[in-house]
Amino acid sequence: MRTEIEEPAQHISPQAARMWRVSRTIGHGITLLVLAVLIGMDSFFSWWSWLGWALYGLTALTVLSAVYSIGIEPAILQRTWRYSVSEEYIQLKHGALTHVRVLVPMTKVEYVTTNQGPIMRKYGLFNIQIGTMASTHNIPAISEKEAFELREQIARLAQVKDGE
Amino acid sequence: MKKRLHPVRVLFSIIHLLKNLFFPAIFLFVIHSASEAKWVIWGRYGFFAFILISMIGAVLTWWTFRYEFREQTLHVHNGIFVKSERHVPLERIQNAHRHTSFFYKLFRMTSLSLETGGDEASVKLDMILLKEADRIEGMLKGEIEQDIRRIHFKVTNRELFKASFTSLSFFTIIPILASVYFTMDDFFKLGGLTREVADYVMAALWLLIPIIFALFIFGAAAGIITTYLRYGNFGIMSDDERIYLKKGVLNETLFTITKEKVQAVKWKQSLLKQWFGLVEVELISAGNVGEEELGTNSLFPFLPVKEAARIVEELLPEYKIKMEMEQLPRNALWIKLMRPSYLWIITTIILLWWQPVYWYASPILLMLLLFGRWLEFKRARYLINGSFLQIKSGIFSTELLVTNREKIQEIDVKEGLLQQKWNLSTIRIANRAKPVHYAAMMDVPVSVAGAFYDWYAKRE
Repeated sequence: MRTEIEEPAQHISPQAARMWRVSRTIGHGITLLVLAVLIGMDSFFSWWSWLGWALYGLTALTVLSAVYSIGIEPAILQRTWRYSVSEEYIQLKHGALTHVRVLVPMTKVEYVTTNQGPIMRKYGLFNIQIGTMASTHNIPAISEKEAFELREQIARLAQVKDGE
Repeated sequence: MKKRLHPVRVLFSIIHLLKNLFFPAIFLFVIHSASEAKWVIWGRYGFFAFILISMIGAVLTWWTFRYEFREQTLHVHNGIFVKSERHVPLERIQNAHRHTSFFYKLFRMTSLSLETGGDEASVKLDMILLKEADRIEGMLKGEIEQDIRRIHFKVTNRELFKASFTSLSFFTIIPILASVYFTMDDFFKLGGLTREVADYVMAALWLLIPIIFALFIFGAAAGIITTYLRYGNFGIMSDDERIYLKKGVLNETLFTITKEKVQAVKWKQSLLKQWFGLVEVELISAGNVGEEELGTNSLFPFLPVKEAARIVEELLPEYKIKMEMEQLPRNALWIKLMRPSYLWIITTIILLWWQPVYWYASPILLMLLLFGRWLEFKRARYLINGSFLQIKSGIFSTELLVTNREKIQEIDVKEGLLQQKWNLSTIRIANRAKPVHYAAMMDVPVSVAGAFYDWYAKRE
């Protein structure tokens, strides 16, 4: 999509891809572990036969999902994620398969927060959450210094109130 | 000066309590009347203790709930043990609605809800004198000048009559009859009698004609009565700043909204209404609009399209609706037909797995789905008209949303894999409402999506 207003240009941290790989590996690992336990219990207690099939099916899906979301997606996501914050709006642009662009007027921003999970902490990365009347938007994986600056900047710019 | 709700409120909550206790009472005192079992005895003590505590609670709740208007702010105090005080700036109030049930009317009372549109619940003043409600709404208005309301629409008996048929309300008799039958069956064991009557009618089939005729008359009468009770006295009024929607005969509701707080206008047409050229127009508000089924925020649901357009233009002059809108391009139809349908895939797999004999249901379902998508393509319309956006979508029933750029909270544009190949996008807007109101248009040309994005960026 071509627009007159400038496309967002800020990148997220280059560490993001690695961070996603680690956290998603852990997530998929846990899922597979749970499935393995269930399959073990299934063959031990011999539950309904369809349940066994369903469990194997789920395992196959999890493996497929792991290949995509650990092997392929993180790099693309990291490469394609862009954001920009100006006096008037916040723009987000991302998407590995489906391209998404979001435009939020600064006057509609209600709050902004930073947060990080344990794996993000290890890489020194933060999420920025921007809340509006309608929904919450997330800018993932920004380095600590940038994240705090951005949070202050958005908070300052969003002060201006307009007619609801 | 802090005010309480009317003392009758205590009486009403006690009556309400007793009504809810009717079945437990029957259980404890009628069904188990002769029982000396311990749990029944204790149950009875518990029953009276519960009544006593609830009565004290009702009095205390009434006593501790106080409200006061001070300098453009509404202060509400409540809580028996944990006291709370809430301040609501009057300018934050998105809409007000009054619900006056039949019994309230006997006492000249009403229940007034003031909606803030925030996360917290609305302020509900349940049981205040009508006079007091008028005073409060007058205060919300701020100015003391004369109340000059223009009447834009007043429902006539003819319109109510037509409405009772287009709303299919004559079918309401089916649940009514069913519940009458099953209640009677509980007491008199109608099983045998029903079979006899059925056999008798089967033996003389001509009897069906008067029976169906009687049912039809009965149904029509019931439909007219329910429609009359619901929509009788319907009126649309406005003054310079506000819109007032009033309706109901036994239970009355009055919905008030400031014109500038209308977030969007929605035109809804079911298939039947399309055939009759009728439309339901809804005013989207950021606050709660009462119970969904009451439709407090809708202009009369059976307005002829032309009249609806006239009323909307009178109420909200800036909402100029253009009926000639843009259609989707040809390739939007192809993409809609090509898009995989998960419903169809899953149904087909399940069908072939369990009931392969009925394989032909799968192509039939596919045809229906494709027909639906074709209709969806045919009916989709959009238009950017100055600072207004119009989006119309739907398969059988359609919805046309008209909103102002300033009222749109945020937008997004998406392009899926297929769309990227065909140069199409999905545009979506969010409006304030409870819950948030999203409206989307799938498969517009990428250039239109770009123009839409720029159009929104140029707000202010």
